[in-house]
Amino acid sequence: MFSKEFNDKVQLFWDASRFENTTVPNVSNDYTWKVSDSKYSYKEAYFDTKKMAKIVCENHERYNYDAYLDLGTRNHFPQMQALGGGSYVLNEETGGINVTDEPTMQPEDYKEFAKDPMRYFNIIFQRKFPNLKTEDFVKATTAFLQASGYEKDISETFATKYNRPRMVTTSASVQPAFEVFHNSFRGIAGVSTDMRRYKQDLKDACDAYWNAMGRTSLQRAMQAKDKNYVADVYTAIIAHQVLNRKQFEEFYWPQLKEIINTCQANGKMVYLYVEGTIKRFAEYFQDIPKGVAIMHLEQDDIFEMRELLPNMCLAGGMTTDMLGNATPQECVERAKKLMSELGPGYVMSQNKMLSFKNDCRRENQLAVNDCVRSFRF
Amino acid sequence: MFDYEALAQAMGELEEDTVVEILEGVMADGGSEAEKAMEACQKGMETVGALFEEGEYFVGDLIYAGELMTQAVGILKPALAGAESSGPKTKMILCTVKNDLHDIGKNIVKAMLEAGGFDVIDLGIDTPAEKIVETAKAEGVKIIALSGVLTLALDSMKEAVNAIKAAGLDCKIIIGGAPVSADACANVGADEWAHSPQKTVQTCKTWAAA
Repeated sequence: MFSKEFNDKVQLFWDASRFENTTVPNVSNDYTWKVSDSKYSYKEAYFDTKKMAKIVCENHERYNYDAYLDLGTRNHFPQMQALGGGSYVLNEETGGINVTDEPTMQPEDYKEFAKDPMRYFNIIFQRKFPNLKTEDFVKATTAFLQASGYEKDISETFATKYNRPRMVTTSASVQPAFEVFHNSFRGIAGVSTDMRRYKQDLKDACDAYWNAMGRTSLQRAMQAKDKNYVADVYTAIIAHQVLNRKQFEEFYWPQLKEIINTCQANGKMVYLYVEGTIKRFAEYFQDIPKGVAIMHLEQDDIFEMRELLPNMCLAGGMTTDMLGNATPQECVERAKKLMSELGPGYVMSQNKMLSFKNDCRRENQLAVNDCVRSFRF
Repeated sequence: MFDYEALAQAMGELEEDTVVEILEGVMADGGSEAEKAMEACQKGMETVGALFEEGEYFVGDLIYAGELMTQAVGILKPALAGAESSGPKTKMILCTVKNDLHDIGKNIVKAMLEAGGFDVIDLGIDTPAEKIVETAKAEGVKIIALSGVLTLALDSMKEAVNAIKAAGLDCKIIIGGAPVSADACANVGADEWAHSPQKTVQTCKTWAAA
């Protein structure tokens, strides 16, 4: 049972998705910038959940957003370390986190993968972590349990102490299968060549993954109860950045459409978090009714996208270029322009994930959030 | 005599089997027409660039085109090594800047620049400003392309531009990648910016011809 304030916050986003909001909801797209904005080092934050909890709580107390895309749960350093290192590369000086692109599948694997994706996960796991010993598994299990405990506790703290929902939750993350091959198993270069050299094999593997896992996750998200988050489904749209139109139609859109249609049929909402630009595929989203989706834009011109998608609640638009380099007054002017020109059906947020110390200045974010809180249509 | 129009067309349409078949035929015939074949491949890459600009191709196609071009060079290399060069190429530097490990965009641009006739000195990823300056001095380079994906890369680009200017090098600098924009370009102090490899190639060609 959540408080009235918590429920009002959730309702605010639902109202925005239906273009019925009278104030503008403000969702934090701050992922790791909050660490640089704190007194802790990156290593301290990532390897000590108590410190991370302190960082995200102080962040809320300072900036007071309506909801949060991240509560310090991204970047699984302790888990990866326990498994033998993994692929994260942390630069403490800059806060930069790079992930090495290490394909764990070869094109010849697609056929076997399609036969039994679950079994193939074990093979991929062994390839990614080839030298694991029993004690590593114990350490890794402990690290995963700690991370999952942190996520549960911090979500509860935000819901009950601060009356703030998370915007999305990890367990309701559902993506078209192509994303998995693009982001993990084969990598960007791998899928780019496979779409031409091993087209049918890749399609079969995507279908098999979707049938075995994607659709199940989607159905589970439809049945979730007592949610401490706003959007029923979170879909990060990343891999479209390599696809031409024909490939988008063949490899991507059918499953993305299924996610959206399923939400629509069940009266649920999907948060579409778009990396890069999506303007060239805008027409695919023009028939989605209001109240089904919120689309977060990273690099598109949000005003142009409003023209193309008058049906879609849009989030983003507050650029890191401005937050990191402009004056508070200039940022406030931008915020006012976004809210007044985009009108109901707009959610204030940073365009990119706030990640590095120069992505934002504290005084700029404070000025923007003050402005958003006092804005009325 | 081989059908180089068909080769250029196959390269433009990313038809790997046809490209490889014709190139292997050229080599089986002694390789005397390897340079003509390479010119046809470069012409095909121009088509790839044009189709990208028109929106028919996208990033995945450019990655594949880069791979196909590398494969073509690999097939023709034994014959090209002994052939008369068609003239000196413009040397230029390309790299992903310090603190950024992304290389896919850089590699696409490299393939397109090489197909466009440049001799690209690829300094790789996570490249410090000093290395760029040292190489530019040692090689007499006049064009430098800096790539990055993270917003953090903008700081490194600025650092590199400042170092190049502080060293008194008369170089044209173009920045490219997800975080760049007109504002970012002004802030970094570069001469030009690009999101597309085609614009990068065109800009560098203009600078090389000046």
